[in-house]
Formats: sequence, C-alpha cells, structure tokens
Amino acid sequence: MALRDAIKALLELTELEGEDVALKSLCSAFGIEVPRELMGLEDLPPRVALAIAYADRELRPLLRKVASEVLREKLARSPMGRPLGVKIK
Amino acid sequence: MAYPRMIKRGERFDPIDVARQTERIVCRDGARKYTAFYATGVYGGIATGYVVGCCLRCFFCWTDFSRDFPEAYGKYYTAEEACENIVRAARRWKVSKARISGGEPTLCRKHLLELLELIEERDEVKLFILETNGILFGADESYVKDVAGLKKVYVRVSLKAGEPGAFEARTGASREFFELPFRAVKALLDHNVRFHVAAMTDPRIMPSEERRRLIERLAEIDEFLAANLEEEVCDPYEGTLVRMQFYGLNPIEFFGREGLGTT
Repeated sequence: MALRDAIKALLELTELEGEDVALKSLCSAFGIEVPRELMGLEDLPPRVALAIAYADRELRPLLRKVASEVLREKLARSPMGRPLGVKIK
Repeated sequence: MAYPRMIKRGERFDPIDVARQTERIVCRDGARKYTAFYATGVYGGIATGYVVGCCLRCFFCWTDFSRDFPEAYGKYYTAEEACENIVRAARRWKVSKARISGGEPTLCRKHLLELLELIEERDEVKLFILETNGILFGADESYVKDVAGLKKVYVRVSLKAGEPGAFEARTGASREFFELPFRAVKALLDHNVRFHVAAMTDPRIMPSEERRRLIERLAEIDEFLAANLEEEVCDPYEGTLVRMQFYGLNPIEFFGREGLGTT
C-alpha cells in the first residue's frame, strides 16, 4: 500500500478514537502495512504518530494533501448523511 | 472577583485572572500541587501525574473536585519530586510515555518548564504528552517558544467550542477569550512543536453546525490539523455528573439511564 493510501486510511480510522491503540496494532487489524516513513512511530497511537510525522518537513506536503482530501469528505457528511455543501480552500 | 468553582449557566469570568488566582493556591516556590501519580491505559499506557487547578470551569469536565476546590486537595511536589514519581510510575507499569493531566498543566510555568527539562534527561520516558486547554499558550507565545526546543514534548490542545458564545456558556470563560486556544494552535504550528488538536464535539454538547465551523476554523489554520482532529466524547464521571447538575442540566436526561448504568 502506498504511503498516501496508508495515511488516508489511518486518518479515516482514527476519526473518533485512536488514542488507546498503537499504530502497529491498528495497521495489523486492518491489513495496512506500516509505511516505512512511519517506522519508529509504530508503538505510538496513530493520531500521535501522524502528528509527529507532520512535523517532518519532508513528509508535510504529502500529509497535507491527503488531509485535504479526507477533510473534504468529512465535511461533506452531515450527521444525517447529507452533504452540507461546505467549501474548503 | 470571587474564585469561581462549579459554574451555573450564564456565569462568566476572565480565565487569565482565574489562572493567576489558581496559581496562588497550587504553586509554591517552584512546587505544584498534585493529587496522585500512576499509569493509565490511555495512549496505550502512560505514566501520569495528576495536577490540581484549572483556569476553565467546563460543565462536562471529568476531573475530580480538586479543580473546583484546589485549596482542599493535593500536596506540593517540586519538579524533581514530580519527575521521580512519574518515572517511578513509568518503570512500575513498564510504559515509556508520560504526561501530566487532571488540571491545567500550563499553570505554574516555572514548575512545568523545570519538570520538562528534567524529563528530557530521563531515559525511561521517550515521549511526554502535555495536555492543555491552550489558554495560557495562546495568551503568551513566549511560553510556546519555551517548550518548542524540548525533544520529548508532544502537545495535545483541547478546544471546548467553535464559537464565542458557546465557549463562554460551556467553560465560564468570557467570550472575548475564545480566540486564545486557536492562537495557541497557530503558535504551536509556527514553532514546529509536535502536537494535535482535540475538541469536545460530542453532539449532546456541540451542535453539528458549530462542529462544522470549528473544523473549518482549524482548516483555515492548517488542513492537516483539522483532518487529524481528536473528537472527544463526554463520559459520566462522578465530577461530570455533579457539575452538570450544578450547571442546570439533568445528567439522567443527558446520558440516559442506560448510559449511567442504572437500568
């Protein structure tokens, strides 16, 4: 799985929870290979691991791009499952 | 101004003033009041020092009554003593993460910075999670600069509302201070501190439109922060139930009998 796809999957999986399980456990449970770029962070909660990766200037542009996609989808969902019509820059 | 404790609907105060008042109670000569040190299962296992005192009065707050009556709870620990207790808890429960929680860790700045410096030197702790409401970081960017150089520090900023009126209603802090946590977020980003943002978006507390505005507001600062947002859920801790009742909410209606385990 490409880094981009793994990050997207992790951001979606941790939308509500994601503090109490390690990145490696979540990846294992959902058949996601821990990306090479996140090695060394696999014992941390996924949200924390992603935030630490975001502080890396080299990984930041990709993470921001994926986050933008995830966010569009997140905001398109209202609690009733209807699009809210929100525009994100 | 009388020291605010649990709030009733409509009460408000200056959170910076409350921070200073609280510090006069919980900080003494570089020491700070703590109620306990042990490890919990959150973050996959983390050694925790529970501090006394906060500058907000959220009606949904889970912490014990030391938040409301800081004079009556806890003992003073120097930074060295607090560090030793945290490291001891980490060793005992075989965890390598640590934090201080319960109250607002950024009160007692001297104590916190000394503690963080000491933690930097300890091999037992690999990551120190600083959980904050962002009020004091937002009020003084130099405080963010102080923690920015520390390698083990990771910050979790918890937002309480997506608009000024809701911020005042839920926390008791006047709406004019609503921007401070967002300023903290911006400052943490500008200083390349490792962090994520959490928010009490439980739909029983925050309407969906406000949640949307909060996420949009975060996205204006940085889209990754908004996508990586930790959405908090309100749980029926003892302190929460009492605070809700005092505030004027019926906890049974809020959580339901099933949610309270009374069915």
